[in-house]
Amino acid sequence: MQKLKNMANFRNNFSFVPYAFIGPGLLFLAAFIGYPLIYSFYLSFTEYNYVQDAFPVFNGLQTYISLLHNSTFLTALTNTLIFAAVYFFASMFFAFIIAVVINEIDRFQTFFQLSVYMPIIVPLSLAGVTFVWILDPTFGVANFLLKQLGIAPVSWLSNSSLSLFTLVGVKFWKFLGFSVIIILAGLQSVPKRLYEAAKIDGANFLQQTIHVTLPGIKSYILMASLYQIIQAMKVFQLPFVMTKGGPGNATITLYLYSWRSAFSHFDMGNAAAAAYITSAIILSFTAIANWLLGSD
Amino acid sequence: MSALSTSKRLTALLLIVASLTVFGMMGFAQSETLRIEADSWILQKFPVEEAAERFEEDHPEVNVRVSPKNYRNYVQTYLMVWKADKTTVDLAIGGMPNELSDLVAPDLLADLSGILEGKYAEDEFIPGFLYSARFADKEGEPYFPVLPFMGEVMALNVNKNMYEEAGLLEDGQPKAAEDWDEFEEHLMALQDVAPAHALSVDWGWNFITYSYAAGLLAMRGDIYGPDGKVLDFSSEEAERWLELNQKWVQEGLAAKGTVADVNYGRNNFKAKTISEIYTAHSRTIGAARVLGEDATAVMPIPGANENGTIAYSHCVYVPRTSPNKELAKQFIEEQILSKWFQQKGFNDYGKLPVLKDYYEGLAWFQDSVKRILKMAENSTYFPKYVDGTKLRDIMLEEIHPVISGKQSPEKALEDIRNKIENRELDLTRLGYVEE
Repeated sequence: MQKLKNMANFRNNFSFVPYAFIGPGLLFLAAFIGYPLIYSFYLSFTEYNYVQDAFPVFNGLQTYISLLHNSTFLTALTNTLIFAAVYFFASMFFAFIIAVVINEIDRFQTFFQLSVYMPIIVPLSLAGVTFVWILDPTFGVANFLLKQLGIAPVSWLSNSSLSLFTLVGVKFWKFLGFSVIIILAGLQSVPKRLYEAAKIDGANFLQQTIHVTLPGIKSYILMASLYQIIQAMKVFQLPFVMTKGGPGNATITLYLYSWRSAFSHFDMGNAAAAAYITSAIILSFTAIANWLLGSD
Repeated sequence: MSALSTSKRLTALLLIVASLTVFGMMGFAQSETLRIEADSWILQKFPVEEAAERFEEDHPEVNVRVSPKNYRNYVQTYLMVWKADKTTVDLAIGGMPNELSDLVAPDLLADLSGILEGKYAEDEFIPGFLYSARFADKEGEPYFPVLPFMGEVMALNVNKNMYEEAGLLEDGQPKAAEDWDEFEEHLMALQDVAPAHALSVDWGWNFITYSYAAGLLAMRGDIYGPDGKVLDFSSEEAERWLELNQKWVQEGLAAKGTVADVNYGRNNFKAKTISEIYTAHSRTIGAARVLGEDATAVMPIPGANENGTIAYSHCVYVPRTSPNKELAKQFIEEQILSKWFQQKGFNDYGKLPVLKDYYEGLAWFQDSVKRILKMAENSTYFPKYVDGTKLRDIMLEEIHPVISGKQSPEKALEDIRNKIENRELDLTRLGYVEE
């Protein structure tokens, strides 16, 4: 009896209107995100060269297994991990220091905030092209300045031992501002009375930072970390625009490898598998960061 | 009142019907629309839009629409659309034969061999340019699914002022080195006057195959290995070419900037910091706009006059799915291959005409043109392989460390051979190969 009542209530209260509103959005998501996700996941278990093959041929885990034996893919994986580690730790460390310094400044704080945030506005590909000129070994501004200081010119991009770190530097310049602003917002949200209490208890600056500041801005650090981890792993535009993965494979990254497989070699199965491995790594790192920093 | 309104309605209806009829007839009168797509750089360097206007003047019933194509991914875009039996383009301009082989393999392009008659007969073309576009059909017979409209040859682009300062001018012209020892002597003399380096060889990702093959060709007169099909990665000359390049970089005579930045050589050549660059000949004409015609010249490397150099071309092609194939072919014959169009490409940006007759009456670079023509007539095209891009990527992986001094030429060549085998590269030649 109660069941029948519930059903009658449901019928009386049910309205198509909300579904009509969200319907187009859902359809859009299904067509442009859902379908490509499912289809590319299927492709990662196939062998499919879309110039030579009429249709994808299912080959189980073979593409994933062969990728793990492919020296170029392994170089791309190593490069991406090195890039991500150096970029992530450098950007979080310096962002924290810069945010603390800006927070301590009383005058022109907005000017400094804007200055740090400004590079975010520049499109990444444009930044890449500009830095190719700045870093030109012969007539670039960077080497000109070094020359003025009596330092020998540096092959920023054509030295295979240095080129990956040069790209880290460009990305660091571009995205540092985001973390600075987030952490700064966190710093400004920590109640002043906590610092006063710590001071009364005899805590010095370092102790205040460790015991008051860091716990107080934990959620802000988490947010900045998640953003920077994703930024660190999805390295594509800079090597694409600045080095095309060279010299040799010194700056090839997972996304660039995936792009090359798909649009240069037309090997869609390989490209999809590489993209899913990259996604799995990003998800793992994100989960670890969440676990470490977001337990409360 | 009602009658008046009915008559008004009838009049309005009649007017609408009449307008539709007139517009419809106008539409029929201009029913043929030729849709052309070209790379942005081609639209900048060739008078495609002017050619479209001329074609419309000659054929008032035709409407020509020119638009830029998706430069980086055009092959992929065309592949997907044309495979689905559709097209938004009737004539595409731009693309090298080895890139376009991905469209030829699935038989998506119309046969353009019919154009090669009369004044456009095969022997009227520079062979290295024309035959780079020749493929084999299903029966193994030669045919032309793409046709070249401009050519380039690998050559030394030199700064004449620096040659003069280094005492390397002879009768006002740069002195060509007879052999590699003399070439190195020239480099040392040029190094004394160049602000940065004497030489930059184009080892960028888009030129590595040409630079490697052109040096090899100049040294041994052939680019193929023992089987006569796969590029040579085992001869003494292959090793020597890489050794020389490594040595020049180590001694500071040559720059290695192109391994990261493909524009490093040409930018520095224009900035007068490098004396000569080994790359496409047209960089000279591009640089002449900054440095002046008298300050630049094109030269062969040792052996290139006798053994030839590598030539490459950019092509036009028509999708099979186009409803206006004949119109597109007509446009190629009347405009793209015409003397004015071809010569303008050279006069403005140094792109070589593909027909021999058109070398008469070019606006500038008369001395260099003779040398370029000699090199072009003696040129060989780079082979088109099924896995050509994979081969190029392996060459990048192994040759860049050689140039940077991190790997020996011997090891690099051995690794290339092994990778070709281990990665099971399909190096079947896609072009028509004469037995």
